[in-house]
Amino acid sequence: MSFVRGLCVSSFLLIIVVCFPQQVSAEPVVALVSNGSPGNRVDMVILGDGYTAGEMDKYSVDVQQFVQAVFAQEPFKEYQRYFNVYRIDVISSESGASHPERTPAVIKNTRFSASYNCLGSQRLICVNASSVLTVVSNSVAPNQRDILVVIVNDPQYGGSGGVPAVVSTHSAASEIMLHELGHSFGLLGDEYGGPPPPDCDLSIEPREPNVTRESQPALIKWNYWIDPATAIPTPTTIPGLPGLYIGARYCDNGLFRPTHNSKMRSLNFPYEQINTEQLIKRIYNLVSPLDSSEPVALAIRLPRGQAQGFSVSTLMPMTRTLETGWLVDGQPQGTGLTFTLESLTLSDGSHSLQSIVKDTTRNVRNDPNHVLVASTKWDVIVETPPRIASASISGKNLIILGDHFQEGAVIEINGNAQRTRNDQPDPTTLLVGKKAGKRIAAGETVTLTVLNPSGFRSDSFTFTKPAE
Amino acid sequence: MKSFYTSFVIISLIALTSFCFGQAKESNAGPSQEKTKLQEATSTPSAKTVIKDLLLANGIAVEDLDSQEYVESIQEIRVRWDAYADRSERPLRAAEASHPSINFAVVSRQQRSSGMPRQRAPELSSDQLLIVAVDALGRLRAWALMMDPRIIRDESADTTGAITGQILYRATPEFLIPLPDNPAIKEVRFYHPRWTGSTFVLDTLGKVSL
Repeated sequence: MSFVRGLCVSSFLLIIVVCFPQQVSAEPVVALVSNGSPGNRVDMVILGDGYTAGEMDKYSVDVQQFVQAVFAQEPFKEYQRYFNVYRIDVISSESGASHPERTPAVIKNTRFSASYNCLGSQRLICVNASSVLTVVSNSVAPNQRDILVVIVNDPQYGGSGGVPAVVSTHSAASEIMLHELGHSFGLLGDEYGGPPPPDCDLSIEPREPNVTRESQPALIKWNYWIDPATAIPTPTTIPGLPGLYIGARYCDNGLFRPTHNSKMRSLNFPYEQINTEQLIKRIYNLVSPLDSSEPVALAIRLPRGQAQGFSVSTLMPMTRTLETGWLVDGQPQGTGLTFTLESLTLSDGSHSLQSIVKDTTRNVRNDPNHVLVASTKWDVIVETPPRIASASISGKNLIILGDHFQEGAVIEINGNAQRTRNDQPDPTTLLVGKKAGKRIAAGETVTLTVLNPSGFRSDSFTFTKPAE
Repeated sequence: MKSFYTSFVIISLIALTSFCFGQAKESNAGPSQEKTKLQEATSTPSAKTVIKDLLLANGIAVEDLDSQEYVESIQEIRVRWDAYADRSERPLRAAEASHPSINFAVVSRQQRSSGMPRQRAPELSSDQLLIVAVDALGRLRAWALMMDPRIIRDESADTTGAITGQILYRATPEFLIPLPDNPAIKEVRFYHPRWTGSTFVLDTLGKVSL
């Protein structure tokens, strides 16, 4: 009997497991900064570790302070409207982070198992990245997580770079995070020297845009930033003066950096020109300066005599507007976010209208991939609609005289298409409605129109069939 | 203003060329898709050309690197990489992480309601991995350039703000890889772009079957 009962219970549990697979539980997500569709923004996702249910208010404040610190730094400050920021409210069982280096060791049960002293490096905080990915995957869409940051509820200085980046709530943590963003978001190299590790490698030219082993001015990656009067290598310690400074990428000699100091070398410094330029280009790698355009349809038919309005919306840096220009058939015709195309200024036939949006910031001097530019192009066909000049009856046929009748044009009587002889060369001035004259009673008044195959219809023409 | 108009002319030529080559594809697109596509008309292909050439050199037939941007249904696969023989939770130092293994495994796979992440002008870096989805004939169906999930940067500053650090490696990293929800995708391959000083080459890391 107990065997049968056990079998029933087991079967029931099996049915539950099979029919109701493990529910994916998404954590609450708060959009802290919403500037537009994730498809055309840089999306930063922030998660917390070591925050208990009772510390969610503190978590909110910590995240807000972190976000403010990030967007206080150029170029993120100028381009902050290009970003969305999401906060995922993750609750831990215990507050803080583990400190195995302390005596006695402090071990905390937190959602992502944040722990200092990772690999014996006291300030290195490691988290369980797999757990982070689980929460991220369940909570935000794949196109909504360009930057992942875990904030650990512990005031001791610490963190780590990578995916995800990890920071503590120490006041300097946001600075080290900005340095890490230089790596993971900007693909920038370290500008500090030795001693190793990591090893100094002088065997090849580094790939990073802010490190070089070249000392000939023409071969320096950022030479377009260097004033010709600046000595190469550059001995000065003047802040923010582009040049060629000895020591970079774990080498005290043999590799060079672009400025005496920067955030890729020391905290509490600006990124400086070369790194800022790269970061702006990386923002535009994810964000098109042209956000949307109207009309959505890209093939436009414009009747002669009419005008068509076009508009674009662009991204908005904090202190500038992007330049928007309009080209008709490749010729500049206007600027601004809107443009009215007057058909009377164009010949009948195909034309193009293009809107080009460009960020002309002086902080980017070299944009070989034109990533600071985007455009939309419409194909516009201007056409003179058919016009009915006169109508008459000839036997059984209806004769229409007028102009701009295309091959394939159709006569309509009160909106009803008629069998039309329309095989004359295009454009023709004569259409014959086969036996259409029979369909109009003597003395009857009808409305005639002509519909061209291009979709353009003539104005209505009132016709009264003479009494027989 | 003059230089701006000069830029117009140059960009127009680029856009016109892109448009002409894209006509057939666009004719079947819905309004919203068309809108997105044309916004990219001036995104020059040069950065993507590097990736395309690398894939071709690795025997992957590539028609259009941009086609995946316009899919309406996507899937997300989660992959675990047992990258090193030492599978402990602790990160590894560079000396311990020089020879990654080929042991990739799909942990989960789920449909997602989202667009594909896109990059207008991707840049290759040795800190990234190139992930490629191919069909049964080895033709490219999707690709992604992601930060190498093995990398942990252990960096900190002294009292003057001067930074020092080292690079460590996760032994068992995981990836979340968005792909078009396309049943034709049969395999996902993983490559490490290695910089030689003048160009990138792709080191094959491994693959998983779907």
